[in-house]
Amino acid sequence: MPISILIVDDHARIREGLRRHLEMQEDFTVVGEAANGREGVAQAELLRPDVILMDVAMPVMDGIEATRLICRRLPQAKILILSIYNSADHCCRAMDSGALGYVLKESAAEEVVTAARTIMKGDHYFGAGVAGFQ
Amino acid sequence: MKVEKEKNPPSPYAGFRSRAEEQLQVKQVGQPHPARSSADMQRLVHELEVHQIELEMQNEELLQARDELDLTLDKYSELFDSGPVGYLTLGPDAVITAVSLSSADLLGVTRSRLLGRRFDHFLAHESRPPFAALMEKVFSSPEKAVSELALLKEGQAQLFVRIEAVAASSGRECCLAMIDLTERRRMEEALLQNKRRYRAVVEDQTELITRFRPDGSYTFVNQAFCRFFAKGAGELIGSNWRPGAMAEDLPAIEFQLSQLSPEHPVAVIEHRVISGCGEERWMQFINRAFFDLEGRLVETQCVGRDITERKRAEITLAESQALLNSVIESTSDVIWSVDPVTFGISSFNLSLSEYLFSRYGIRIRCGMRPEEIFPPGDFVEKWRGLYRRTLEEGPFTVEYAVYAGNSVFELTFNPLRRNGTVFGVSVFGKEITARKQAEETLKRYARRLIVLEEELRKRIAMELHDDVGQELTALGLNLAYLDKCLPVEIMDKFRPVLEDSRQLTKEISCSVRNLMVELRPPQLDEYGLASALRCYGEQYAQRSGIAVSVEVDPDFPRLPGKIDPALFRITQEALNNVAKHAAATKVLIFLGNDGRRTRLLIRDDGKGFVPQDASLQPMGSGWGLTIMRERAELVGASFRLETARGEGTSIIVEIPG
Repeated sequence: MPISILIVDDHARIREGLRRHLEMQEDFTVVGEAANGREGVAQAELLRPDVILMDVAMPVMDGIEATRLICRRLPQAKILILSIYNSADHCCRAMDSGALGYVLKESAAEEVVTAARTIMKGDHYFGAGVAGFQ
Repeated sequence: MKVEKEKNPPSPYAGFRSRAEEQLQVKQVGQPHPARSSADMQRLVHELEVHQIELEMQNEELLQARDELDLTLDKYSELFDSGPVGYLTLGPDAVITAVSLSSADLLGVTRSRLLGRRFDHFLAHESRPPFAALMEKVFSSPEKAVSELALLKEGQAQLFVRIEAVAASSGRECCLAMIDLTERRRMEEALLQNKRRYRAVVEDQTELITRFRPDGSYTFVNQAFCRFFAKGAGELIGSNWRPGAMAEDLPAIEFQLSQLSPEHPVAVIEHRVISGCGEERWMQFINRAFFDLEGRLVETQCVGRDITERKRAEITLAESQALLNSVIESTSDVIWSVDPVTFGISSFNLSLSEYLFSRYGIRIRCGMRPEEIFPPGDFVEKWRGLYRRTLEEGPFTVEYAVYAGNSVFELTFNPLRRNGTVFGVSVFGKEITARKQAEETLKRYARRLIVLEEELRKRIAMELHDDVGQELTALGLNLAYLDKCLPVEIMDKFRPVLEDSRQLTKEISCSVRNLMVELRPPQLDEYGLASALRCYGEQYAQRSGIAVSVEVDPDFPRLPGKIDPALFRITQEALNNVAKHAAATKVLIFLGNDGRRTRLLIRDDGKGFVPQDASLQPMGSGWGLTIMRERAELVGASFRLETARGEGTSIIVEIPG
């Protein structure tokens, strides 16, 4: 079974780029997209994806709050945070909210596939540039 | 010596009757008594009785005359023997034939031993020739001869006597009157010595000493006076003092001299004279007038000294004082001084007077104390406190907002000292109301500018995040897609370019992220100052190569409102300065809060600097300190800089609470 992925990001081009990038992988299928955290929570409850790629800075509801809600409602959800910020505080907050992985957006093209597969297995993943904060 | 009379002496007339009867018997010898009738006998008895009474009366008068003669004899004896003048009678050979007790006492020999001795034996050797001349004159002329001679008194020093001699009527003796001149001679000698000493003192004086008559003619001038006027004493004596004085000063001099009186005999007069070399000099003359018994001016003694230098200094001082006064009175600054004990006004300038009257209707005058100027209460005590502080601590400057008005003054307090003793407090006040208003306006603008700057930074950071950052991410994803999707033969040709493009995208993303942090780290709003400083510190260390350690108290709280950004910006500016100027290898950033205050410390191990030098730096480098200080003040924080050459720099910012 391919890994179902929900993309939550307020930038359409990033969603499009991630979709294109992920669908090149045979074991990935993008089942849905959301433009803010609230939509992301709703889509997650509806679609029950395997992996959720979650942006942090979004209108209406940010990715950290959405991650917290999703993890509460869907304990099995595996969330990979995609962020521009590489600070320990951002990373720690993301992990505290329930996320399993943290990848910098600038490295998304190289690492998002590996990161999604890693957290699918239940392991944590910290991308390059974030690894120092483990 | 008084001749004493014998008690009850025998009557000198006791033998007269016996001699009379004897003479009557002799007379009646050979002349028998004629026969006389009874009437004749009665008449004869009557005649005898009357004659007897006449004789008794004559006898009474004779006795009375004798008594008077005795008294006179006593007086003259007393006068001769005991008077102040010694008397002698000498023979032509100078033998003493009579001598009074005074003379004997003067010669130091008893009267009995003097009689028969030569008088000239008692004379000093040098006095014998003039005595001999006197004796010759006395016995050759009826005129009185006078001489002053020296006597040798036994056992004592020489006496000096004045001898007046005249020949006696007999011509065989001369009468001498001898007056002791010894004391007078001694006093004369002493007076002469005093005169000599006085003259020496007067002549040796550097001060000018002169005496002049009421008409102004000199009677005495000392050497100093002669030298000063380059004239000899002979030329000056008898001349008048007036031509030597400046004509313009004469009326004042004349007036002051005219005020001299027995009650006020001294006048000190300062006036100008023309010296002997033609130079105008200022002189101070102490004039002392001498008056006779009727109060008429006899002579004036004048002691003078050259005070030209002092006068010139006084004139210079007066001119300086006038200039200073004109400066003080012309300035718009308020200036005053107070007594150090009562704090009463001791002096003030026109500006203060006008300010207090125009603003508050107060007419200031010397002596007014704070409670007479200000309303009762805090103002009075505040001013007293300022004066006391000056006396205790020395000079200081404060900004003072005047009561009941919108004026602000910059007041500088100084203790006034003379010869090490404080005699007052001076206050210089410059109205800085306009400057303060400008400063407040500037501060408002600065605050507004800072707020706007923060807003701009935040907006730009957000736009970088929301636009540029996301688009770069999308670009990176697109390039990755191209890398995967394009045919191998095309990719082989364009791979290097594609790889370079992907790398560029990453680098730009990284730069954008750093720029975002530089502009406005998201941690500042999301996690607080400590988080923002850690993030910034790491980035700074990577960029600059200077090790940064951030230490934060475990329970450091989130700070309210604008304090976090202010402290962050201060740290940012401090780190910028370290990178540019300090040549440091490490920086410590410390954040602490002890419940009473929040403390930010930024300390580097660089080369340090002299704070004054910072103000001389070109624009852009020295301003960093000013900007940090302004940011601190805007949030009510204190800003302190500690630095020294070779000892690094510490910046300490503290906020109460």
